[in-house]
Amino acid sequence: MRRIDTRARALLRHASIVAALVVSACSIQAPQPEPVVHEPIVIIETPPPVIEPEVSISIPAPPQLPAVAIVLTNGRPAYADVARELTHHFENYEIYDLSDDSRPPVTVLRLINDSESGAVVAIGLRAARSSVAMSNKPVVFSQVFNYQDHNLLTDNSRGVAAIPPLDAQLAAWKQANPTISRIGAIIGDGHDDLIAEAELAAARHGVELRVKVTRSDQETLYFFKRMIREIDGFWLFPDNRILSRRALQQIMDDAKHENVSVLVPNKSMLQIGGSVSVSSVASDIAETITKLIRQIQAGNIDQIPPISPLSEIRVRTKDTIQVVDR
Amino acid sequence: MKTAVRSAMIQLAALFARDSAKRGNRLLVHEIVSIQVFSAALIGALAIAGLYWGGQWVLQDNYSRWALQWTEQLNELGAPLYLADDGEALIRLESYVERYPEIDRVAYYSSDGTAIISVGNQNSAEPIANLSQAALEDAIAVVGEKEPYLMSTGILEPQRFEILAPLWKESISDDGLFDFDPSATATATTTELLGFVSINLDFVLFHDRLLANIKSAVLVLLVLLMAFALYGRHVLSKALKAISDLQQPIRELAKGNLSVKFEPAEHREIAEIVEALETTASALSERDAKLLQLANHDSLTGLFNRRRFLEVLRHEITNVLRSRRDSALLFVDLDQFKYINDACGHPAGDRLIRKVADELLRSVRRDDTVARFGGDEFVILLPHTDLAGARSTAETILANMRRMAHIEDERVFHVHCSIGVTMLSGNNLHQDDLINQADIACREAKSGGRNRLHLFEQSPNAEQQAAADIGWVNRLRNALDYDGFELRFQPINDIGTGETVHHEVLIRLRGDDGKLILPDVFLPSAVRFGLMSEIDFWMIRHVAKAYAEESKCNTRLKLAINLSANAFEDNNLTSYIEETFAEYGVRPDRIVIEITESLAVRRPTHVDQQITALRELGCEFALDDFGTGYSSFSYLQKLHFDYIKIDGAFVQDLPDNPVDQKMIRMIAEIGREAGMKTVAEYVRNAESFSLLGELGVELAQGFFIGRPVKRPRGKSTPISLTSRRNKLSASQTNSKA
Repeated sequence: MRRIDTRARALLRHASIVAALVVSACSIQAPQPEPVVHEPIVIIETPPPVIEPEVSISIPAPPQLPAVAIVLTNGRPAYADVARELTHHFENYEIYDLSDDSRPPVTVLRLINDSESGAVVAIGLRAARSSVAMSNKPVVFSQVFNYQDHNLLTDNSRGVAAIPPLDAQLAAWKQANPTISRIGAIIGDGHDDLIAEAELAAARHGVELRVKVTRSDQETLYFFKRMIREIDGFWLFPDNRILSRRALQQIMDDAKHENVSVLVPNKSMLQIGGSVSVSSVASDIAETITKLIRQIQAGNIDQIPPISPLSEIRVRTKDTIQVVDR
Repeated sequence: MKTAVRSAMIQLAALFARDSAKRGNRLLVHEIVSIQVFSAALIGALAIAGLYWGGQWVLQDNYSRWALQWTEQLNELGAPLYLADDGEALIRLESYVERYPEIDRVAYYSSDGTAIISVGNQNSAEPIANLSQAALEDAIAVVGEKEPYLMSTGILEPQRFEILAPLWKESISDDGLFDFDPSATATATTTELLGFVSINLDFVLFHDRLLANIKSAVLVLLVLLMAFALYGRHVLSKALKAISDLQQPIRELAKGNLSVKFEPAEHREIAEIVEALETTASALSERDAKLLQLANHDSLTGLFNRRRFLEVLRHEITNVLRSRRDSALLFVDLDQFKYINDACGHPAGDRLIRKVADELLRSVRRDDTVARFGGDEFVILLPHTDLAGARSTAETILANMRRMAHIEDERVFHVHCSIGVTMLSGNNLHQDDLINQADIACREAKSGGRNRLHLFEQSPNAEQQAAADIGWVNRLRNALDYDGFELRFQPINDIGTGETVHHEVLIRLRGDDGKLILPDVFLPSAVRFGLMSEIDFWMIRHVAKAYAEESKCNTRLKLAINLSANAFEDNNLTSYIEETFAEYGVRPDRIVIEITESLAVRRPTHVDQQITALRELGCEFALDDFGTGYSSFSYLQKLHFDYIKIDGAFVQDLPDNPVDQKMIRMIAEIGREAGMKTVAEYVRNAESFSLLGELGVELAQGFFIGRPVKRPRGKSTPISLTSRRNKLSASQTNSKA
């Protein structure tokens, strides 16, 4: 995304103020579900203990947020949506798109370092790697799954979880497919915490979880085929290291053949055979980032956990999408 | 050399003869069956070949698909060898390979081509070799391709395959799964080569099964071909038998048996042939009948012709001999037919002949036979008839003919006939004799005044006379063939000067006794037996020959020839005269052609054309015997003649007949006015000669002028009119004294 000019920023600022006032007024009168997205979402659930996950938690307007530099890996919706949501929280911000070949990442980071920005928000792996490596300002990254492979967690950087909380995911999956009892999952190296979280969530929901750590798509396929006859649900994590297009298609085909439900991290995967998709909500990510920026602004970065969890989840099923698509 | 060539030719001919004999022995059934069996065998062979190649192709296609499937399976099964071995990979591999006996061996290689492990159904102690650099490069080149493997097979062993497939791992770049687009074809991926898997396949079982099936198919085909050949031979033999059966009827047809019957055929093609043959036989029968009709009947009247009548007569003679019952033969000759024919033309004559034929048929019994014998001559055979019956029938015919009136050009003609009657009885039973007798009797009737009948009566010398009459034909024939005629030249003199102007050439026949026979004796027989035209042509040639000889010493020689109407009936007359004159160097302007008054008056178109052509050639024409026939002076104005020859009847009594004198004077005057010279015939004395001169006649011919001689006069001996007169006066004075 290109840098937004002054007029546009003023317009956005006024719009943010008006929106904040409206939200405040609405929250005083009666809490209403927020229309998070305009897409045909069928089920929107928040993880417990949030009763109404679709309702954005209204936060009293903080005093003044610092100017931030928002660095995008590219302008694709998964990143641009988060950036757009961030503009609702910050008055002073600069947006940089690393896919813009006219300015290489080094140039961009130099500009940021020379600017008055108080923090850097990096969205996507490439943006995170560049920002963490070259920025002299605090960095908050998001939409990065394999952050541990790239040493993104430093003293001056913190991250936002790439996927919604696993417990919430499993809850949503169980709601969509109540009969699931044996779940398999394959994931790459370095996600021990995630595996532990998954096992806890499984235990909480009373399902049997089999997790296999692999190092390639070949291995993923190999083990998937070994376990598919023993499971009735497969939890697909967005670990790009162990998945290829070929492997994804094979997993989906085999799962369909064996009548195994597949929980996918992306709504588009419903088209290739996924049963239920669970994904994060851009506004939730932006909210979480904003909280982190405030804590960093307050000088409490050391007290911030390396990865902050998300609080909202968006669930889609294949059938509902199909119905809406009509 | 010639002998060698001849020998070679003989050998070649013998060879051809042998080949022809062989060709004649070939059987159509065998050839057709052979062609069909050969065709079927060829098609069968092609079908089997197609089956083999098609089967091979299908198998190859299946091999390929199976190979791809197995490659993918083995690719997956081999993953633990390179990655995280779960300890069971080898067991799984072995059990997988065991399930497929077609898999000879599976070998895995590291990314640098080093052999890792080998699993196979064939126990081989040989260690597997590492991959060559070339194989390595070729296999790496197909990484990520749609068909990521190399497959090779031998030409001689198409059932054996060797597959080499690269093994690689692949991952989606960065965090590509956050925005995974399944419809996108290009997704940034990271690829890393792991190693290779080599699979040796042997589908010999399938191949052997295919070959066994094809052998069975060949066997079945051969059996079917044999059965087909036998059945085809049977069917064809049966079908062609109908053609063979036609052989005998066709032979009968060729022999002329037109009543031959053809057996109906079952097959349409042969039935059509049979129908065509029947049509041919029918057409031949009709043509035979038509030819028989033409051969036996007169085309004008439809009556029997002379040939057929003679057959009937012969048959009747046999009947008479057998039954001892008499029959009668009538010879009918029309009176004055020539007059009608000449006056009204041939078409009128033909109509009259048809009418007379009808009348004759009406006048006789149903069993009697009427035939046209010649131009205006009819013969009637009355079987089982005695003399009285014959006379009665003849009188009936005479009476009916008298009543018959023929109308032509608004003119009414009454045509009568003369009938000669002879009886078939006793020893008078030779057909030629009978015809001759009836003919003689008919002539007697004519001599007796026409329009009557005459019964033939055998006189003592009648037989000899008849034989003599018939003998004329042979004598004339011989005279024509052996130049038995002789020419005589009678001078024609100018009455005024007494000079010989030209000679009339006369024909004579040398008799057996050495005496010359005058034409009045033999020409009627020549006309009757159709020899007149030949005599005319004989005359032309010999007159030309005589001219060629005599003109050498008499350059003023001029000859007159008599040509009959028969000569002008021949379309070749003009060309014959022209060619003959050219052959002998005859000047046409030195030739005078004499024609009769009747021919001149009638002058049919074709005759007129010939006269015109001869005039253009240079010949002169003389009108002979003028005054005896039509004597129509109007014709003299229309017809252009150079000479008018006054008939001798006017001359022979000229001095004593004032009518003849006036007649001659008138003819001479008219001839003079018309630019024609008049010639008087039969001038026998000086008195007539002188008188003719006084009457204005210019030329004279007769014994007084000169008798017919062997050679024309080289020099004339003038007899001047004056001297003759003087001679005449002296004789008259002496007689008075």
